[in-house]
Formats: sequence, C-alpha cells, structure tokens
Amino acid sequence: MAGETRRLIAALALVAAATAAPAKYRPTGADLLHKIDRLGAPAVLEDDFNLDGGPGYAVVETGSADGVAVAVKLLTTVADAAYSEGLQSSLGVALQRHPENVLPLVDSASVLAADHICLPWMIESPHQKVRDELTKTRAALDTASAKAYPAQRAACLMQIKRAEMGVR
Amino acid sequence: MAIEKVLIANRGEIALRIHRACHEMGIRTVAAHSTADADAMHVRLADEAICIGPPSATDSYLNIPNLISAAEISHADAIHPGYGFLSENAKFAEIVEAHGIIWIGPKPEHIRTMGDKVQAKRTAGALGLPLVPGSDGAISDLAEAKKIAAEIGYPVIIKAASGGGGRGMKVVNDPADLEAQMLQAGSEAAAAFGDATVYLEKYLGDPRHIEFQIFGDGNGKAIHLGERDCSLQRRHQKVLEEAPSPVITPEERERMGGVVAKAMADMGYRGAGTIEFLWEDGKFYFIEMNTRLQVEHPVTEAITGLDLVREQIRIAEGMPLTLRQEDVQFRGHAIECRINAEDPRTFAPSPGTVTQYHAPGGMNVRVDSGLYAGYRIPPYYDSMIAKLIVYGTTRAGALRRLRRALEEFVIEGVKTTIPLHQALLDDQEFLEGDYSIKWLEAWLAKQED
Repeated sequence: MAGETRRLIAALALVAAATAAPAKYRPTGADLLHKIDRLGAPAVLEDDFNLDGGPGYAVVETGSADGVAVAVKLLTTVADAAYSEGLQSSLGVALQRHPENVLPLVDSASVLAADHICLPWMIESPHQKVRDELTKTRAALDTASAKAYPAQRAACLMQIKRAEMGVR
Repeated sequence: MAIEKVLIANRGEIALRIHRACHEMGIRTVAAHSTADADAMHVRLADEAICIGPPSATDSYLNIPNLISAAEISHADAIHPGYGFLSENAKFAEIVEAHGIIWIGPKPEHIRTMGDKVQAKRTAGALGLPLVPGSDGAISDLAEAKKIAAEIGYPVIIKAASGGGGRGMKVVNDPADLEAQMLQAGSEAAAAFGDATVYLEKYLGDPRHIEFQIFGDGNGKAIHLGERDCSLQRRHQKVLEEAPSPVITPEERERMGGVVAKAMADMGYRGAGTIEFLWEDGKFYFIEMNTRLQVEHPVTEAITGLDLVREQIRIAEGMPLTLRQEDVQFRGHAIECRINAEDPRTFAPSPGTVTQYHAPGGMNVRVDSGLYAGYRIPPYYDSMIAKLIVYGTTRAGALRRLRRALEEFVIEGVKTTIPLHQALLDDQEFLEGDYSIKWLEAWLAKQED
C-alpha cells in the first residue's frame, strides 16, 4: 500500500511537472550585471530591455544598488536613444524607492541629467496619476538619505515643479 | 536608386530640416507623427502625414512596426531617422533594409559597433584614432599602477570598471597618493556596484570638446568637414557650438581631419558621422562616435557650403560623395545658439503657449525651429525650441551678427535662454574663445554670486 501511494505521488508529481507553466524569467540585478560582463551591454538591451518592454525594467525599478548599476551601465555604454527613455523612466521609479542609490547619479552625465531620471515617464497619464507619482517622488526626496545630496535633490525638486505645470 | 518619397521618423526642428532638404531635391515627404504633434510645422508642410501613435515615444517614434507600416502604406522608398529616437538603433536599420526600404544612415553593423562604447574605443584604437592613455583593462597591482601612471604622467584618474555616473572615481595628482586612492576607489566601487575592479587613465582636467564631421560613401571613400567646438556645456548639455574651433590651427585640422577620414575610409563607413574628442594641451583623445546627424550640424554647413541632409540622401541613393577632400574649403566662422524654453537664470523649464514669435533674419542668419505664434510647447519633451545660427567671414563678425540677431529674436509667452546667450556675448573670455567644457558652469556660478 505504501509502495502504491509512493508511486501515485511520484506519478502525480510527474504530471504536475509536465503541465506546470514554465517558470517566468525574472533576472536579478546581479544576473544582469553578470550578463553585461559576459555578453556586452547591447545584447542585454536587446534581450532584457527590448522596445516592447522586458524583465530588466522591473529590476531597475526596485531601486537596488545592482538594479541601478545595470541602468547606469547600459545608459553610459550604449549610444542608442531608443532605449534611453525606458531606462531613465525606470530610474525615476527607482528614486522613489531608494533615493540614496539614484540621487548620487543625477547630472553626472548627459544621459543621467535631472530632467531624464528624477521622475518616471508620465506624459500620457491622467493628471491624478501624475500628482500621485509626484507625491511619491517628493516623499522620497524628503527623506534623510536624500537630503545628503542637496544639489541633486534641488535639481529633482525643480523637475517636480516642471511636471506640476503640466497638470495645473 | 533615386529616392522619390522619404518617411521622416522624427519630430521637431530636425523633422522640418529633413523635409526642407527633401523638397529642395524634389523628393516627397511623409511625416510620421504622434497624436501630440498633429499640429507641428513639419506635419503641416509634409506632402503626407500619418499618425503612428500616442505621445509616448515608445508608442510612436520608437514603435518599429508602426513606422514600417506607415512607410509601406505611404509607399515611401526611404526612411530618415533624424537624431535621437531610432537613429542609432541597428536593429531598426536592419528591419528597414529587410523591408526593401532605403535606410538614410550608416550600415547597421557600424551603428552597432560604434553604439557600444567599449567596442567603439577598441575599434577607434585599431583604426589609429588617439585614445586616452591608461591601463589596458583592470588593474589591481600597485607596482603596475605606479608604472603606468609614471608613463602616462600625472594627474591620473582611477575609475570603477563596473562604474558610471562618477562613482568610484578618484583623481590622483601625486604618486604618493596612488595607493590610498586605489584602495578607496576600489572599496567605493565595491559598495556601489558590487565589484571592486578599477582601471587607470590619464586625467584631463580642463579639456575642450572638439568633434569632427565626417562623411563616407560606404565604398572606401571618406572625407572630413572640419571640426566643431562644443565646449560650452551646462550639465553635459551643449549650449552653444562654433566652427571652426577658436583653438585649432589649420595644420591641426588637416592632420586630425586626415586621421579621422582615413579611419572612416578604412572602415567603409557610409553616410554622416561625428567623431568626438576631448582636446587638451594640443592633444586629441577619442571619446565616442555618433553614427547620425548632430543637432549642431548647421555650423558645418555654414563654413563648408555643403547641405549635410542632402548629402546623406545622395549617399543613401548610392551616389558618390559630392566633394573630394581637396574640394572642401573652410570659409569664415559660424556659431549656433540652442534656444531653450527655460528661465535663463534658474533654468527652470517654461512650457506654455508662444503668444508672439518673430525670428531674426538678414544676411547669414538662419533659424531652425518649428515654432509659430500659438504653438503650445509641451512640458515633457526636450526644451530646445529653436537653433539660431549665424555666419561671419571672421569670428568677430559672427559674434557681432549673433548679438544683432539675438536682439531681434522675439519669443513671447514663455521664458527662453536668449538672455543667457546675450550675457555670454558680454564676457571677455568667451569673446576671446578662451573656454573649456568646465567654463560655463563656473561662469554661471559667478553670475549667481
């Protein structure tokens, strides 16, 4: 009886394994950094940040040091404006979560200018959604860790003002 | 093959610029535009207009299926990407060509190679372009670092191999500080990027940004069209550009221009490109190559008399280069001011509706802009709303003309950076051409004091 039960469980496990949806590819920041080293930044852009979206954007948006490093590496080593907007917008989301990882980068390179990375891309969003995002960014900029970067913080606050003009 | 209809896959002043060149060549144009740009000037002037999606660039100007569909529906036989958006996307260039549409741009493989900055430096070095001297890759051994630093000369800069954005960078002026700074840079890099690997380079303390315009026919012939000095920058964004550079001698131009043209010929490069250098103490150091038209291309047009967009189209048609190197003549001096919708003092963006618009004119004054009275400048796009380009037979003459043109320029309803350019014209150092890439930031800080 015990043997039959074990066989039944094993059979069920095989069926479950065969019918389960394939595990969703969810790379980490470390995975992507490693992949950049191995395959180069252009390959990672095409695989993980394609123009229709890709798992890489969510990694950057976590705001983790690795996720932010991935975005910086891609933005600063590949000259292709097609990918910049998505990466920069993701850094805007990352800033809301971990301003201490994003603020040091603000204005350190043309692709990391305040008007590109302080805020997520919101051109089409309803005004209330824009206001909500601005509130999140402002809250992040009001944290003690953000205040350690006064110049970059001021540059981002100016971007909030700019966005507010669009939703008056 | 003669091009009869060009789809313009861009917006703003560059879309208008391409449209103008096409019409002068008898080529019909299709403006592919987002819903936000339905009233834009280039859409109004184009022979046909096709809406390719909503305002977000991802859904319109970066939407490859929509752009290809627009080209097919309109029977456009070529696509001009302008600058930005998909202009340096090798995959898009390949897709365009795979659809039997002419790509007005470089070969996809060259876009790919030069778009990857690591690969670009390797290629540039192999083609004989001067690179910033430094360690050939990661460095961990102090003795080796000391040897390399002594060879290239102090100051040197230690950079994080995984870095970017200025983190993990240390400038070392004195050999005695090298060990401590290497350790510090390594630990900062480890904290920021999870990788303590560093490398070492010659530090350029106060360089100028000098770039060479090149053209290749794709069949082993290439020419240079001289340099542009783009050192006046704020937050890494170019503010004013001039050609020729006030500090480059005709001999240096001929020598360095010859080097870049030969490199492009050896590569079999096709179309327009720009090789960017840092320049300090009479030496050039390659930074990167842009495989597209630049915003500041009109200053080159002014001093060479060559229409660069027309030349791009001719080369895409398979025609030879219009000029041989010995036919290229540099005459006079040209300056371009980028006019942004920003407060000229605080640089706070100033979107809104243009209530009055009057562009300056007269001899050798050019304005590239899609503005008109009643145009609403959206708050989210690039804040550059116009380019003012002046030409004079001498730099002093061009500066006088610039002063006059800026006085005439009327843009009301929004704040612009016109007063900033006017203030620059009162500065002796600027008038003498005595500036570097750090000069404008320092000058602005002084104005605030």
